Amino acid sequence: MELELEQKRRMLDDGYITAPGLVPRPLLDEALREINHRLGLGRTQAMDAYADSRDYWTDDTDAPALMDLLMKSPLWNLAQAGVGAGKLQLPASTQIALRFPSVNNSHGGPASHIDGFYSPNAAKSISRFTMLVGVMLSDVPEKYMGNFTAFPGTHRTIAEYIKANGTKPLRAGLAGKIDLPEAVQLTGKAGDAFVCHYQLAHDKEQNLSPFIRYAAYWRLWHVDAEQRQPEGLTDIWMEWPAIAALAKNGPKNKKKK
Amino acid sequence: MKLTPAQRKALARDGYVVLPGLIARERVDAALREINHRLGAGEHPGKDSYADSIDYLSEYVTSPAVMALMNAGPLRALASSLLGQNKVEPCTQAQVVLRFPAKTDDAPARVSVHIDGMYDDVPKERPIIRYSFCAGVFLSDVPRPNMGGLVVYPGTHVKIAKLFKQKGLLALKKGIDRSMPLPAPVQVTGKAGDVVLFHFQTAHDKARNDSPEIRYVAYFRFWHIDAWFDHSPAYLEKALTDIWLEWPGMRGAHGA
Repeated sequence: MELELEQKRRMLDDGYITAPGLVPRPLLDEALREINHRLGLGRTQAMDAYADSRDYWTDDTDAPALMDLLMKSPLWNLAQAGVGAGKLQLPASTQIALRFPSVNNSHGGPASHIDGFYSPNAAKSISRFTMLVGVMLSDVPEKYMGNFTAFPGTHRTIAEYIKANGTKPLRAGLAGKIDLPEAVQLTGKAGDAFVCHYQLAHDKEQNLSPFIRYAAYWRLWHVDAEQRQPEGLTDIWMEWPAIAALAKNGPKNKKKK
Repeated sequence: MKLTPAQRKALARDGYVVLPGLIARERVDAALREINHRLGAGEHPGKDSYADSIDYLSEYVTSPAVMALMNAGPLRALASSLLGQNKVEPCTQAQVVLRFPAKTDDAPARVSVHIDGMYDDVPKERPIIRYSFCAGVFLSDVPRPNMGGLVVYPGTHVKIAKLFKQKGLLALKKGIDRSMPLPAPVQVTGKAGDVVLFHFQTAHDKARNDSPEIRYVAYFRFWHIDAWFDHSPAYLEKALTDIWLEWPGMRGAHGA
């Protein structure tokens, strides 16, 4: 699979692309069955320490029903399309990400972040990967339904910031250092997928709907990502030849509006 | 709010009736929002000790959003129309029941057909703690069988009354399925907002959930005030054998 030109442009400029209806219903149903069965067991799984509890639940699992969403759908090919076939490490697990309804409208405002900057080990090394891939497992037709929220273009502005200031200031958060564009709450249907550049600032929106928002995420590493950790933070297309070629040719001037 | 003649006839014959679209979508959504929030919080202080865990969560809830399913809709008026004006003990809690998907390698669901209120530790003089009827509000769509829905055994309200009359109130002590022949079960289907109303004495069960979705329902149990206040063995026997005793709204519908 190759990315279409418009997909490449979106990845280059916005830092993410969406792919409607990529994961077929039978795979979604098996994943939902697994997740909802786990919910019946209670909150006893290995919970993500970063989960802010109450309305957010993540659980990393190697359950086939979840892994199949990526490996048995066209999503794996889409993920590879930007970096090259065979250039991604096979992921060991899926992150189940559930966003439960809020009852008190207590959202504290945007908490945009990029992954890997805030762990206790981040002072020694930032665990940079290549891309975040996600699939919606429930319909998210409107805003404030627990949407994955992207800050378009921040993959580039963060790279520029790191080039000038290093990574240390960002370990306290992006606020005050990066000018954030208007947030985009991704909407869509179950089966819609998205691929984000690692360095795209993102967030999860509050869920004011009555329904649980179900999603599955994978953090994917280029086969050479470990060897190129720091460089990849500033040379953001180093692992993305399909996008690097477009970047070199100055796509912004040619972009259709 | 009253049952139509056809609905009264169905209730009299089968011991249950489905009332489509009785509860407004916004009421369902408000209740679901709270129930799903609780699920996220993992807090279930009113959890029913009878819940068999894993794929079943039963919880007694008094919160406004859930109680509004009954208080703000036509259910209270319906109860009064069936049991009599000022004859219904106020309903103060809901049983919220979630049925989670079974895994394909789980053992088949065991049959546990029952009527409520038959506990192991009840005194001999009051072997069954009965009420008048139960109303279940669908909070999610259950369009087909084996989605964790309510299973009813039509007509058992009448058959069980006959059994009590013949053999006494301990006639079901070994379990309903061991005490009497059962009719074919019916898995009740419906949409969010529908209500299934069933007589206390209608034998029922819950189906396995082979769907990917969680099945949500809120049950409200209604007591005629005589059932609530009169705990005498004489009244119990009378109500268990004269099954429409507390139902002036069903007069003429059951041929009694």
